Amino acid sequence: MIDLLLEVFEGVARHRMRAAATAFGVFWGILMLVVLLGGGRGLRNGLDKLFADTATNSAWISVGRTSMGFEGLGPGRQLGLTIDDVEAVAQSVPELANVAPRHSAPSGLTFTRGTRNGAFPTYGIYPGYAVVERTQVVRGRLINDLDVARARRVVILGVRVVEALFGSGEAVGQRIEIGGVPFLVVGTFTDAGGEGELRRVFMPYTALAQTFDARRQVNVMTATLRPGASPERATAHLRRLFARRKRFDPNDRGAVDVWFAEQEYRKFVTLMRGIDLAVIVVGLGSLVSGMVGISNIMFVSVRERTAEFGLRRALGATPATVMAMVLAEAVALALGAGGLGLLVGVGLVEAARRAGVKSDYFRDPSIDLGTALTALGVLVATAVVAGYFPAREAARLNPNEALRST
Amino acid sequence: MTDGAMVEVEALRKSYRVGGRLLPVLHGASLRIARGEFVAIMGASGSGKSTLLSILGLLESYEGGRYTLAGHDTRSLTEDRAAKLRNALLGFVFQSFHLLAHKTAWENVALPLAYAGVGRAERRARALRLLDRLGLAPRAEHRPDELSGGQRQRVAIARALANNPPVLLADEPTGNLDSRTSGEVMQLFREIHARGRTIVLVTHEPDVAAAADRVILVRDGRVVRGDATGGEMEAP
Ligand SMILES: Nc1ncnc2c1ncn2[C@@H]1O[C@H](COP(=O)(O)OP(=O)(O)OP(=O)(O)O)[C@@H](O)[C@H]1O
Ligand SMILES: [Mg+2]
Repeated sequence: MIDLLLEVFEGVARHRMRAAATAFGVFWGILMLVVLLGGGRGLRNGLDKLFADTATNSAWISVGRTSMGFEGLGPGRQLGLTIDDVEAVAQSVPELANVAPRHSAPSGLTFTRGTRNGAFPTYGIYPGYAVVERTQVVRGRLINDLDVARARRVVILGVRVVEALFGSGEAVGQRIEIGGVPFLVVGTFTDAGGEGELRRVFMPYTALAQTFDARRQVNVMTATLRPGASPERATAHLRRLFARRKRFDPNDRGAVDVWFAEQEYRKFVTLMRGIDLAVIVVGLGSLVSGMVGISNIMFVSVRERTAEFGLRRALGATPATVMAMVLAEAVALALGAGGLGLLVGVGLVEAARRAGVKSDYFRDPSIDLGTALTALGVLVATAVVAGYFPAREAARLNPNEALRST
Repeated sequence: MTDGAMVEVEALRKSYRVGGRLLPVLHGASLRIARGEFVAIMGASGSGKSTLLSILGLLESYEGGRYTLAGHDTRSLTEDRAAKLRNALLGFVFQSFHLLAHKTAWENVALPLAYAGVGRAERRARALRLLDRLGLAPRAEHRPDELSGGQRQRVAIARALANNPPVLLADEPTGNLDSRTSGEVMQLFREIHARGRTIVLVTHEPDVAAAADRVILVRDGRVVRGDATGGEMEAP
């Protein structure tokens, strides 16, 4: 075995330039493959995270500016949602459930509790909103229908808000002041959506409207799609309803914006499939070009060493011995170059992860050991295939003729 | 006499395919070489000497006739079996030495030992002993391009002897050497022969052939003289 390895290194070493070129090709191919695999994983992790805190059946509905004239009204009209629209959608769009408003309190409201204070994004909602956001109760309860019906001045606080105002003390049952108005804390919550969402405060929409004079405005509306309902039909329904209520052309695309997580998720799944396909294409491409490169250099090496193979046969080498020798060279070349590519690639991906390269769509790129080992296994198999024909040529040489060639 | 024969060839026929046509090289060559004999094969260029030696060395197949090497019928040998026999019974010396350029002298000498399954440490020890015997100990770690022609051929002879085979086959071993070095190499062959080895040597040079016990003459693919074992030494 050691003998075979020594032979291998001598064999490869004799074609340094050519071997280096081939080796670099294999190295680069594997490197790109690993980086792509790691990056793809990062993208998947990022998007998974993006969808993690939103119910997959959730819908977000908002209105914008008209882009077409309608019944004497010019284009470019800014539309707005009201709480009446929310009620109308709840009643007349059968595809949707948990229809809820979300409206921001005026910014800059100060939260005061004893000597502590702070400012936090505050929203008025209906109970259905918690379903869409996947809000999870830590202590106490969420906002309920009775809170909304009676416009109770109650709030639920994200866990970071609790820390800011109460430290490690109990918040539920305590009073705080928001913009000087007292509110009762009825619950605390957490959310998978990340830090930002843990600094939020929710109250009944009705309480927000009364306390902070929202009139009947609503920034955005949320809902969930009923099981089996089609998001396309729900969207069509919503367009027709809003076109009638707000008097715009039903074909005016920009007037209503309906975002279904499911549709987005499908796009995301399609994107991931595309990336997987790209990885496969790049992987196959680099494998094939590596295979051709290795095969070529092995053919050159075998032809240059015809006399050597003849001599080895005269000294007692069997065709199988010669074949093993050439195959071992091919595998050594592939493993050396590919293994290095794999190492550098894994190193780069790992470095990117350590450095915390991330955005909304990208986080924690990684290569798992199984993938790496599979890649290495495929590489060896490729090298065996690449080396097979040159090896067979070497093994089939007539020893006498081989000795006569110089 | 059959019992003592190392090489027995009868009516050997061999042709090469050249450009789609069959070129007959040997047609009915017969010869017998006794165990321990030193035989020189001579003949005109193209008469088939090297072809005959390749067949004797199991490096080339033949179409007709019989060839028995040390009692082994060689008619339908598998490649693996032929490789084993070459490794165990035969040592080769070539005109162009055929040393592996990237290996040191001792590594070249040790090659047949590797194919015989001898371990690395023992291979080195045996190769160094052989080189020492041939006066090449100081050159053991040198590569072929650092050696003179005579030294190279002596390394090649050491390699041929490495597995201690009973038969040595040499195709014009002095063809690339000057006459003085040539004489030294032939002296070496005589010594090797004196230790009991059978030697078959192809040469053009009468002085070289003179070192042999017997000269076999090949003409047009036939052995025309000296094919009887124990016949008196004949001048070419
Ligand atoms: N591998 C081969 N393929 C085709 N023809 C060959 C081959 N080997 C030898 N020959 C031909 O066979 C004939 C005999 O060749 P061989 O080498 O045996 O002659 P030789 O007696 O050794 O000659 P020389 O003294 O020049 O070495 C020549 O005509 C040669 O061209
Ligand atoms: Mg010849």
